[in-house]
Amino acid sequence: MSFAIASSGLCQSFGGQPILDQIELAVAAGERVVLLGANGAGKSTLLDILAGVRSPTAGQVLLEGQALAAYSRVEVARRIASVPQNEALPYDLSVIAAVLMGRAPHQRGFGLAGASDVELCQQALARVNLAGLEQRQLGTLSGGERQRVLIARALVQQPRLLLLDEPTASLDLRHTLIVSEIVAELARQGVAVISALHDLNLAPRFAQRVLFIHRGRIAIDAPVDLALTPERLSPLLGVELVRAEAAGRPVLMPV
Amino acid sequence: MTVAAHGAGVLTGRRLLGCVGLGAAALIVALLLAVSIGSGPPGLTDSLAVLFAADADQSSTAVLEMRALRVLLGALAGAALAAVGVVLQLLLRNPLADPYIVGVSGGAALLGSLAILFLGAGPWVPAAAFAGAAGATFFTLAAARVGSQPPDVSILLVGVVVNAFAAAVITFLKTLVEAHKAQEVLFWLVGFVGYPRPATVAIVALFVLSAVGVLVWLSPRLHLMALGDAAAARLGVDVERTRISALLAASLATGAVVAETGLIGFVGLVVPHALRLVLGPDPRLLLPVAALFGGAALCLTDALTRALFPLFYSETPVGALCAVIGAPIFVLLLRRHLRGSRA
Repeated sequence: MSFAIASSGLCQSFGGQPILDQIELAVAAGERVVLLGANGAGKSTLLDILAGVRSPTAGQVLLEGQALAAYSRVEVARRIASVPQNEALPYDLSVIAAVLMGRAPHQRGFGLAGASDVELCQQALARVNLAGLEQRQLGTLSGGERQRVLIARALVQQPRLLLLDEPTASLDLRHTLIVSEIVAELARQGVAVISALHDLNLAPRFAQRVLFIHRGRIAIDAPVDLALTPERLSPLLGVELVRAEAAGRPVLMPV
Repeated sequence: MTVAAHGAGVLTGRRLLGCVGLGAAALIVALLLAVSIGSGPPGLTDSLAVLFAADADQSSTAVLEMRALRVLLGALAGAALAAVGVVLQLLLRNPLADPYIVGVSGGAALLGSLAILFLGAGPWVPAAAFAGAAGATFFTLAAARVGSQPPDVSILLVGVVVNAFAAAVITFLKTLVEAHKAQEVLFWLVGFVGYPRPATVAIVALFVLSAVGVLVWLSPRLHLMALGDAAAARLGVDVERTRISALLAASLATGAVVAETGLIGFVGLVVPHALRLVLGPDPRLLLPVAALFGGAALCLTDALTRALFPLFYSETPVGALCAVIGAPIFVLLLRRHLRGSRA
């Protein structure tokens, strides 16, 4: 199987404090994976390392079989798009200009917008339900709308690997479901998608497989149905859970 | 919807060319006007006569040549200061960043003043000022870097400290020398374009045009860096290399200008802010257009100092006039910006 991204012996520590310890993972093209874990478990740090914007203390990341460090920044950006948890967008930038920035890794020279770039951006904005807001300044948008701008920007980057860090944190239920549909569509097109989530019950919509990080290590690496059980998750989260089924999906609730 | 229909949000080749063309036209008109303005003749008709090789008397031609060099130096200085203002405001994420903020003014002023005080006026003054500007920049960048952390805030802090240290030393030195020497230093520090030699203009042009060229070339990456370092890196920018290249180019341009003209304030603040309101924040457009309008603004302000000569019986330093004109404009722009962001 060809892996979109893989890591071996990945370690990260801050100020001598280990955050990630010997992370081994491999995600195939077209696979949807969810990263779960308590606050501070190291999910965002792991996504940053996979995106190449943070160097690990030890270990290696392989992107499409080659060391990530061997790629130039722009080569990485043509393959990996990420939506970070907190990105302060300039308030005076227009929505269309912000989304067009996602085309930068594919553009040459001065990065001037062509008709095809603008069309892609419009399609992406329509997909995240922001059509008609192209000229609005980012400072006038709600938190959820800004989050969808970031998702649209990642879509026009046309990546082979999409990294989403809490993509639904600011979204209402309707837009949360829209984003989960986008993830499923991308996976059908062969894009690998890794999403870090807090809401356990969204995991079945976003992934086929769960990686649960606990104290810097992968504590669970299993298909969604086998991972989302009270027996496995309650001890890790320190919360007593019960499981039910709804519309064929597992639902976990605290007791 | 077409690309053009997106208007201000999308930078197209046509929009870029249109705005740069407008800026170039403004600069050409400003240059022509500035050459024609002095405390007396020759005026606009003489300038046009010389320009189009019609009959013009030799004395007019000589005066116009002197003025042309001065006007060119003013335009180069204005272009550099405005372009560098755009870049530093973006890189340091600080709307108050001006071209002198990374310690350039302190370094240039200190060594330039030392040269005036101990060697007297001469070609060594700009050379010393340039060395001071370059030295202060490298010191600021080196001192601001701790590990691999992005040095945005620390650059500002070290730059402010370098400038304050230099100002204190200059003030101390001025108390030790005779009054006319202190006056000479004061005059140089406040900003004055003067009548440069052709070689001086050529050297400044070399530095300014190369540095502004590098900044324009970097502007697509600078555009992405407005999102922050991590976001720019995610979009393919080698953040560290871009930042260092831009800061060095900005500092060399500013150093070359300060060395010849002293400290001319407000051009690097007012021109970028005014144009940002009209053009938006994209440095691919803002930077070249600000350079052109900055050049036009400074050579016209300098021409105004010549026109005011009969009123004051001496030339007002252009740095002082820029501050007098620039300060109220800046306050107006700031109020408009604040009203806009609250709306």
